[in-house]
Amino acid sequence: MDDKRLTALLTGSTDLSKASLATRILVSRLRIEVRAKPDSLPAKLEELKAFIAKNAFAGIDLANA
Amino acid sequence: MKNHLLSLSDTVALIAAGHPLSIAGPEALLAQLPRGTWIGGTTVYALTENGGARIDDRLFVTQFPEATGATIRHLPTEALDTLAQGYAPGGVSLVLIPAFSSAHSAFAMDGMGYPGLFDQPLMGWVTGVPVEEISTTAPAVYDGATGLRHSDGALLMHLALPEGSSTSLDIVNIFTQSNDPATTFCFPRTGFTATEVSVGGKTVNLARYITEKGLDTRLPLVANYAGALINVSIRAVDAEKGEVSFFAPVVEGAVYHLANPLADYAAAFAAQIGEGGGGTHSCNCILNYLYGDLAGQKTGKFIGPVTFGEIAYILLNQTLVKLDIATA
Repeated sequence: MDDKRLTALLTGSTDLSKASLATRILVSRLRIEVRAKPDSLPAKLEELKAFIAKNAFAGIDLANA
Repeated sequence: MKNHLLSLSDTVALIAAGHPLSIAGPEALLAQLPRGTWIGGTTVYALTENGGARIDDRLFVTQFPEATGATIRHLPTEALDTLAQGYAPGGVSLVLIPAFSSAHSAFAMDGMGYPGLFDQPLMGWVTGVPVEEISTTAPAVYDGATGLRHSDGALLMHLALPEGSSTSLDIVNIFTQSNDPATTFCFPRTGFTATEVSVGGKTVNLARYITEKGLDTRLPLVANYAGALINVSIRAVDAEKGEVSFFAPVVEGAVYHLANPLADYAAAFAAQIGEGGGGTHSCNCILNYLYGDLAGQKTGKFIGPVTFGEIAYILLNQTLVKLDIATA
């Protein structure tokens, strides 16, 4: 997934009901952190990308979102 | 996985058989178990095949015959952030934490940010005591590998699974968000207690607001985590002091809605979980047991300990947590 799509995911409120619980909670935490500190977006984006790279299920979760 | 409600002697025999076990039950029985590959936590309540019950003379045992290895670790509170370092690749991890301990508080406040936490299913529960002993008895966890009892820290069992196994960790939340602006709350800071809260853009004292509005404090506050409904239960409202305490932290930046009322908790569970649950490792909340009057009532095939907080990666309240393992 490209940065643009992941950024939209972190700054939006897309429902991830079909995703794994791990992905739902992690993305929710990152969204809350980005809302609280918008300048943290690049760091949170990197954290999400690292999570996807480490956990194939997360990439599948988000590709289907 | 296999779930059993066993006598002490039958549990001893199962420990001798060698499969990894997660054991819930009264402290008097846990303290008599021999060393082995097991972790234990105190509670005297369980949802059994015959319905909710006190289990003062029995132990609720979940057996993990699928596991190819098990490592048990006790982490003190200051080392909780290393929790995921023990994850066996492709496996699952179980965690038990005593209620009202420093580890309980630290895990609830900081757990969501621990490195690697979400890299594999982390399922567990907060151990408790009989409700009449809450102020006099400390909940505990038992490390079967060492035979040690702990009243603080987190006890972990990291399970290795055969290659090709699939796992699933999820929750069943019988509550829904009311979406009434008058009961929609945003908190200015994360914590187990709150004084001020924003309701419809106006800051009010939460304790006095709850009292004045006559809100039902048996209903949880429910946040939507990208499609996962996450509850925070109200522990106490002190209108005089102007403070509300919770069984899990409210999170700054999350939007909470008071849950819609429920007439029948057992029916609500049955409607959500249907015929599933056989062979699943699960736990359910003491508040559901008490407020829903689940003693003697069946909640489908999801049987397991009744707990003082549920863990599915993070601390949850008034929620059923379920872990499934399928081997190739």
